[in-house]
Amino acid sequence: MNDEPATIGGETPAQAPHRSRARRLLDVIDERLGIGALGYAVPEHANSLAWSLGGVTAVAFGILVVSGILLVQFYSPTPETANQSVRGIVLDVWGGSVLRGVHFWASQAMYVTAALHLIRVFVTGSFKRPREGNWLIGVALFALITLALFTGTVLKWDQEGFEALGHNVEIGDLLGGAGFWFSAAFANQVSILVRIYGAHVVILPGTILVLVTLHGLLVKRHKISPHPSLPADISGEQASAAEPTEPFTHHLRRIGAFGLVLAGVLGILAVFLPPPVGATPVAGIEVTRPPWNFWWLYTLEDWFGLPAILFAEVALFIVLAAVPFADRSRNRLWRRRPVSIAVGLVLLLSILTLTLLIFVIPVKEHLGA
Amino acid sequence: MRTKPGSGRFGQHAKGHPVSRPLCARRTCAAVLLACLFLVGGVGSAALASADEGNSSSEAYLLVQQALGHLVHDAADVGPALEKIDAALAAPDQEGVSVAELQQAKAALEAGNSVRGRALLQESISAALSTLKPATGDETGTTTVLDPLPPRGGLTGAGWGFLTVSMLAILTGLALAYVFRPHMNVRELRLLLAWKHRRQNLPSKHERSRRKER
Ligand code: HEM
Repeated sequence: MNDEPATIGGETPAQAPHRSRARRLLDVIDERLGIGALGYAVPEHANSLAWSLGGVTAVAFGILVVSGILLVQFYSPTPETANQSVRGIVLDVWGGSVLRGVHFWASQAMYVTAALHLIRVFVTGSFKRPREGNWLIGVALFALITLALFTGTVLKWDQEGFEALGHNVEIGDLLGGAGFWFSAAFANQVSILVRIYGAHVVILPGTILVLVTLHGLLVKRHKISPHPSLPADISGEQASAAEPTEPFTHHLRRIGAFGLVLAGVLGILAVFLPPPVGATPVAGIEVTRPPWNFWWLYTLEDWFGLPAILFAEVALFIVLAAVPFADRSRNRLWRRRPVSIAVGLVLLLSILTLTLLIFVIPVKEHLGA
Repeated sequence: MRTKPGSGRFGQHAKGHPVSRPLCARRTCAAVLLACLFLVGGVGSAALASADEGNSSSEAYLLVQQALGHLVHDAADVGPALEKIDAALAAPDQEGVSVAELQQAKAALEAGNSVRGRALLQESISAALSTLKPATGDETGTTTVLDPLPPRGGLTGAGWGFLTVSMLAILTGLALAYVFRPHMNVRELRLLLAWKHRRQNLPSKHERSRRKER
């Protein structure tokens, strides 16, 4: 990939006197920050929405970080005050309800766009050599996003969050020593809510940030994978040199445009569908359902008991992590990979079916189990 | 009166020790990665279905809180709440709980007055709640069992403002996404690359004229 010269305008010194002040200012900044290096060439097919989903996920993450930093100013992470402080954010802080709504809906958006991005990468065979490592980083990112969703649910410290935490603790126990962090007994002098808060605002976003940075650097290093229905280069690992390119900055501005649409949609959702705050929690009863992202596990638990949640999650992540080791052929086109596409489809349909089955399962069925 | 720990908890949780197994060298990396994924993803997200809590509380005030929890969740169905009240009345540890008020609460609920029943239930454990220490571990720290926050009514001025800004963001974003659209879609790229490929494989002009000469 041919990097552009380190000037934004790419002008010769002879042209310098004619440059506008703004252009000169940009050049001065570029000389110090190397922004011009972002203009490297990217194959044209990478500018479609499907190939920009990773970028949209990154935008959702950015919105989460900004809205999260604002929420932290008003949230109180002790069991006695947490639920009340969330009510305070909604009722007493100017714009607090929308702020909380944007944070909640951005978390849903990040989960969905990350899943769609994963599906795109799977269907286009983009995880194949040499991008297997980046796929694994992606799988870890998806796990971290799920964890962030879980810890966020607990923070509002209502009946739903507390029951979720109850499961968490029991699964921690099932895992024995490996689940120590999730056990309340691990640090019994503080509330587990405080530790969950630490994970939600520092450990998880910090780790996601580190992994996203690595992920992006690897995308840059390996270059974007060839489109499966376009001819690739001789190695089969890169787009054909004959494919037209555009500067990466054009890819970025398109993601910016998608991001603006996303932000607007989140704003509307936040105004019209603010996330609920449930009753203050009571231990020893089970009256709520988990968020939709976990319904498939809830159905499995209903059938096979609590350990099924653990086994199903572990199985899902084993299957995801095994993808690049199982589907090793050079074929990227989905039609030429019938087995892996069929397995992927069965997995997806199973999760969707289990998710929908929650509507026929009564909430209280687990009580006293 | 002895001081109580801060309200209900999940129960006792034993700690074990992680097991490590020798792995063959070639697969060590993959195994380590997988192990991390299990710990990070498997454990955490598995946690999110709602809990199968045992109902083995022996402290009456906890049982009263559970009764309140049921009423808050479904005021129309007093059955589960009455069961909890009966359990509280029979509990061995009734410290800080007013049995008289508890019985009045039961009578009110049975008579169909769930508002008064709830108020009496909350009142009956006020002594127990006043001695709670700050919650630690997995205790709830709950004193008053509050209803879920009711959804807000109509749009406020700020709400309209946020809506307008959001609509503008969507329209601007859509316009920009259109203006910055890719020059070619995949079908056009396929045609272009096929054409370039054909042209590349075609013999050069020079070669074609030589062939003609022959
Ligand atoms: C925080 C979540 C994530 C972010 C922000 C992110 C971001 C990105 C971005 C910006 C790209 C460039 C191409 C594109 O946008 O489609 C990319 C590529 C890639 N991502 Fe992700 N990603 C995330 C999660 C995942 C997940 C869950 C997987 C799969 C398990 C994954 C696997 C990959 C792979 C293999 C590539 C290279 C694809 C190619 O070259 O075509 N990523 N990611």
